[in-house]
Amino acid sequence: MVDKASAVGFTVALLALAFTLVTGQIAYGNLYGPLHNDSKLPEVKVVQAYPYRLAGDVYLALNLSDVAGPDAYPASVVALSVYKYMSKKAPTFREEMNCGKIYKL
Amino acid sequence: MSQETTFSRSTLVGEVQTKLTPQAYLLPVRLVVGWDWLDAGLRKLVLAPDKVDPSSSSFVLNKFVSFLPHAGVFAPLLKYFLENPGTGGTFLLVYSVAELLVGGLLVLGLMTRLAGFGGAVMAAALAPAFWLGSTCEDEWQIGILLVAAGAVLALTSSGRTFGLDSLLYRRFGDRPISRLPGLRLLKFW
Repeated sequence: MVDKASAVGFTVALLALAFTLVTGQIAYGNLYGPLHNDSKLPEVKVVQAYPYRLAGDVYLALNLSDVAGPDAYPASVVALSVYKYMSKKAPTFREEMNCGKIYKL
Repeated sequence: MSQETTFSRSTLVGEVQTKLTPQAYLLPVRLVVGWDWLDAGLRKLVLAPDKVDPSSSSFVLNKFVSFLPHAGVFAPLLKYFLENPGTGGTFLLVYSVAELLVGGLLVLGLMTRLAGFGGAVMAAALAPAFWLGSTCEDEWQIGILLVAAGAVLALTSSGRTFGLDSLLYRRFGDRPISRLPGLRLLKFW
């Protein structure tokens, strides 16, 4: 006959292990079957991009979309390089780039 | 002077001679897990209170947007909090206070077993975020370790050594939170 302390410890350990395995399977599939959510690189697509003139200035409107939602911590565009027609590099926006804004070139 | 008590115990592999594990060996777990919780509460409530302000861009529950994609069965709950930032803010405030409380109690070794149980439950409640991980299974690993550590602290009496529970135990002895079957295992200290 197993004593009470051993039985309690074993039961709690089983519960903790079950919690570990179930949540790991739900979150990552790391127990059985193919892994999902394997921290892949975020994939961002340019849904729409068009330049337009307004009051003598040229603007570039961009609509960027995360293809299947972030697969890691908030996936986002951290750098974007914009080139003019003559392959001359225009200013590079970093960090502050926001899909909801239109940046004047 | 250390005292090693040897006694006979029935186990899964039969009768064995074993020694009691000194409670003092649990101190690293108690202090680190306690500081982990305490830091989480201090960060939100004291060091950067904007984090619990629903009108602030630093509001922690804004991160629930990033929790959603793989939240599975937890998605409706997360959506509810996103659509009701006031309710979410109240939940966050209560959770942050609980973090402070659990962390403080564990560090002090005061009502350690109850605090350990509370910490395990709170860690389990973070399951909707378990899928998050920038390079590996970060949140899940943190969560399961806190659940397991909380269970150990709830079952053992680490506060009776290097903790204020030593005073309570000397004065009141063992005190389960309830006399109901099952709950008798859960004690205050």
